[in-house]
Amino acid sequence: MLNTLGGVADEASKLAQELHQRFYRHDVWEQLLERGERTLLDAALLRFYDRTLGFTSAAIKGSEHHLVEEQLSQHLVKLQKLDLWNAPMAPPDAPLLPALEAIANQLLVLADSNVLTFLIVQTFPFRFTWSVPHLKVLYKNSSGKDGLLRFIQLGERGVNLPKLCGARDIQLSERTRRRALDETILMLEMGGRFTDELALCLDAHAVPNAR
Amino acid sequence: MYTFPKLKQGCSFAAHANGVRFEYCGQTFNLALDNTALINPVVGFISALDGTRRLADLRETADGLTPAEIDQLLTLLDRQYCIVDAWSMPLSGSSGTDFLAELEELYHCKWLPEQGETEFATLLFDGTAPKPVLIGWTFEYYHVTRMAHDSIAPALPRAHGEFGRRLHKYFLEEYRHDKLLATSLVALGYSNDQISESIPLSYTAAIMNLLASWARVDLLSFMASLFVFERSDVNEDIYLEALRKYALPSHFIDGQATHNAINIGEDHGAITRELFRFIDYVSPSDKRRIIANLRVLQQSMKNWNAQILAYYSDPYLGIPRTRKSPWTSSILQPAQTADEPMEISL
Repeated sequence: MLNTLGGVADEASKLAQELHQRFYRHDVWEQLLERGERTLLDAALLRFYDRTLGFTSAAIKGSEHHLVEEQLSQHLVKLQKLDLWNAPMAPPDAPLLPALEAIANQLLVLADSNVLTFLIVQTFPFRFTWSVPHLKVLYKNSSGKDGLLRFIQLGERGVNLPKLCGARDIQLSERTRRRALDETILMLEMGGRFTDELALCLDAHAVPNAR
Repeated sequence: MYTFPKLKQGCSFAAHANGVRFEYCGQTFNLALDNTALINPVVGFISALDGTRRLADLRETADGLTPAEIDQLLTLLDRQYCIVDAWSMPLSGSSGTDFLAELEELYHCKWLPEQGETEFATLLFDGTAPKPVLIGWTFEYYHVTRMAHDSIAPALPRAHGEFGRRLHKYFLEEYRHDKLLATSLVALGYSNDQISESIPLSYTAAIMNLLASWARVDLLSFMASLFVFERSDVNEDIYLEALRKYALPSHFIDGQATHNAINIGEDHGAITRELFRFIDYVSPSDKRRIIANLRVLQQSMKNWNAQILAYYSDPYLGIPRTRKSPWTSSILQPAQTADEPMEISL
């Protein structure tokens, strides 16, 4: 039986939703919202923005389908136009949360080695790791945070990338399907770890120091 | 674009009736001035381009020339390749060897003592680690060696000369060590299909993706991380000695011993030192980035050890990990009330 990008994305999506129920830390996002904690999230979002530019560029380089390349390029241009490097809230050396780095690295490696799997897995951070509803409340109407709100909105829009790339017409091998499902598991587990790390930082009232 | 503009050596100039004539590299060009009253101010300004004055100061002190005229003049000289910037960044970085000494000290004398011995290592060396944890560790190490291939290869085309040759040699020495680890697991009764279709723990993927990402985008961090991945000879011996305390098939230990013998024989513990010998200079910003990256690696390694112990200590999860395993990792809290995830419809 032939697999399509859309079919495997649906399958991975179902698996991800199951895992989401087990790994998701609703309590942490509630705490972040309750405390109005943005310093930690500013740093994490800016770091993820930087990494998103990297793995999206890598995926463009590795894409074999014209439509995939075109859609990813449009997405990259929108991300670049946000120009968050010069955001006033950007800390000089943003702290690196190991799980966030792991998520970004997983996407970078996939982008560079298996773009179709990348297309499926790149939808997960904003669907299952970051809490978009909480982030929207935190960043809505925050002065100077417009860029981050727009980044969150672009992250939501990235969820549609497989569909925009013609998901029903692109075929996947069984090996790629299996890899997509394995990578789904790893991404969701690491998404849970990311929220655990946010919780640890909240408890310590501190952001981790690089040294 | 110039901070301390300086007229290049060999560039000469002289005033004449209608302007200033320049000569450089056998070429002559003429700056014609409609307003001959500007000739002396232009000559005065060019004479001041000795590389000791900031452009901003030159603009302020130039007699008889407007800032716009100064910019035009500098643009003209620049287009004729007559200008150089005398300013240079003060060098406050280190040689590769010096930086590595700093990094090793930070890692071994500060970060590891702060972290302390992991619980997994303590149990292993005491001979009290549960057998499933040892088997689980071997599965994870199998995945490390399997992923090493794809994690090192992207660095190879980016390495040149003697440095490149050393990296290629390292790649060959690490090539397909997963087969050695698979031999260990086969000795325990697992089939090759079970082994190859097993799914690594998320932190196993995380540490190898760090290496793979750096191999693609940050060669210095890639090189710096290798000494963390390659345990020292002493640790290798202690590990094998510890394994022998357990009632495990001899072939289980043999596979790992062969892998370790190659690492020790080829002195992989010193690979980072060898590679950094080829690096003449590491800038302060490179140093900051590499240190931050190594800190993430050290923390990820610590989490990896904790995840191996927690996951494989849980008798309900089963070995090896597959898509059909019950996905309730004991280090991850079960969700309370989860948000509704966003829907995707394709």
